[in-house]
Amino acid sequence: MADAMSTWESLPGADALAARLDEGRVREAWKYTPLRRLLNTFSSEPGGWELAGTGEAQLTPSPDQTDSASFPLGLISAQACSPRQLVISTSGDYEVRTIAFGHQQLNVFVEAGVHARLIERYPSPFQSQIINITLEAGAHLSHERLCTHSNSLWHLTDVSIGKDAHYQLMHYALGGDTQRFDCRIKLAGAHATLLFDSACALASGRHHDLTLEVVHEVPDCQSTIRAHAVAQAKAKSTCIGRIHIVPDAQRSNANLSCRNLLLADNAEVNAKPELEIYADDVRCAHGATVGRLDEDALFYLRSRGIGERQARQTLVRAFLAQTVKGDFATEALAAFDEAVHDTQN
Amino acid sequence: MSLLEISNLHADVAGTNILKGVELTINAGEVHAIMGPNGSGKSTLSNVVAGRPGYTVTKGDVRLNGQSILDMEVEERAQAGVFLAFQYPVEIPGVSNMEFLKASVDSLAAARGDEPLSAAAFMKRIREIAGELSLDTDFLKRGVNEGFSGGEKKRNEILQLLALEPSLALLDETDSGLDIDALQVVSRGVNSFLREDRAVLMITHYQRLLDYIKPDFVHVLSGGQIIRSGDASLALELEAKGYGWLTQ
Repeated sequence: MADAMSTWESLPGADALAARLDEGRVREAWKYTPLRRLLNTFSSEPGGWELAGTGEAQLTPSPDQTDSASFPLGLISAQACSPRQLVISTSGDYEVRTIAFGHQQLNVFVEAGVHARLIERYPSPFQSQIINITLEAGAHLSHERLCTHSNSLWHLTDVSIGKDAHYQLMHYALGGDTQRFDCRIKLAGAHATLLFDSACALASGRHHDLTLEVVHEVPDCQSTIRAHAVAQAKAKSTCIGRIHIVPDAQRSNANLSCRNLLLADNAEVNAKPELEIYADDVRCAHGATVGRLDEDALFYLRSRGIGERQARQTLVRAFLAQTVKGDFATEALAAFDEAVHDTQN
Repeated sequence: MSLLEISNLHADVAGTNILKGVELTINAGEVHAIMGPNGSGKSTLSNVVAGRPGYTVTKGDVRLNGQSILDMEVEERAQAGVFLAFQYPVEIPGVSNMEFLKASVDSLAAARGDEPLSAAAFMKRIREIAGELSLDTDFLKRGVNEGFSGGEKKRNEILQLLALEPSLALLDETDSGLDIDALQVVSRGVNSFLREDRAVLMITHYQRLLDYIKPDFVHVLSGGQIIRSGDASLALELEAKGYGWLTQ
């Protein structure tokens, strides 16, 4: 685990990062997550991956591909690890597993027309993880992750979706000390589609920040983003979702919904959906809700004999289940139940 | 001993006094109808009996089988045999109708100290009831009331009534929003629920419902009190004359 004596300032890449921490853009992007506190948990362990699953491929060394102009934390993360590359040229299931605590980078290429699943598993916790994904024309990737570790971490998913390609991300997390997940997804080829479902259940005192940027770079693309979160007492959940549509990206179709349930008076939710549209022929919608459990629904369940505790659990589960699917569904919902089991207050 | 005994019941909603001394006794095997002008407290009465939060009893008592239920939680009242068919059934996306019914049936069984019904026996029973109510079995897989039409929601209430087998059914405007066919289906459901150890209290604005479910007693609730009680003919009289002659 982390060397207690080391601070992030002694890590490779720290000087370059330090010079950028006070940039307005960085401060704004990290408004709801204490960046320095997160950095102070960083050490220099390199971490590691292994590959499993039924698909035929190997992890090979790769040059660093972090866009550190956009994600300055990559300056440290990439320096500490040996980036790996996964080229998916045959359809199948690919499972990447963490094998050591530390920093990791994986660069995934899904070749034209290939349909694959990428499953992220975390037998070992990690400090930072960068996953760059390129989908070539007509490729389909279903990407699933369930993060149940509660240590501080930074995770970046940086995706480029090619022509007629489809990318689906299922992100399920329980939050932790200071957890930040950045996602940037570019719809880079005509008729690219994105489906992003996130669900997050924070136990008391936990923190989870999902900061998402979706860029429609070309015409005729479609993106659908649904993020649901529940927060217990003193937990802090942030969802910032920005959809950016460039002037040329006509006939874009984008939908962003961010819904949150507060399970205690002192839970905190920061929800900020943003649309930045420069094209004039688009269909875009965004919405955010923050609220308590629906008292009418609670009464309805209880009036049928269901105890209050079970009724609350049922409603929380139902709320989260709306965005939970894939292989992790059962495991994720069970973990969510456990995380917020103390729903009476 | 009466099944339900409401005595001198006063209740407030959001600080406003709505019920002002309701007296009502319902014996097992009886069907009662409550009618009355808008705002007279009809829905409040059914919600108070079911224990809805936000409805505060300030005086009087409600006894089920001789025992006061005012200190009971909502679910305890349901477990004791009270069932409220909602005027506006709540939509709960993410919980399937079947899952909801199973949780309810299991909770009631557990409260009685019974073993839960096996999944197969449960499914069989629910499918039978759904069939009686002309509900497609697909309907059981959908989210609770999610995207249901007005008629489907009301039929779903009756499905729950028949599945949960309470001793007292409070039907809060179960007939509103129903076409003639749906009204007949719902009425048939309620009539099949009736037994000599059970009772029904219907709240309705329309005499029409009473053509299908014959009441033993009709009461007029106005200004938070029952101002007139009679047999089924009272409903016909109200239909012809309105409420003015009673409230003046």
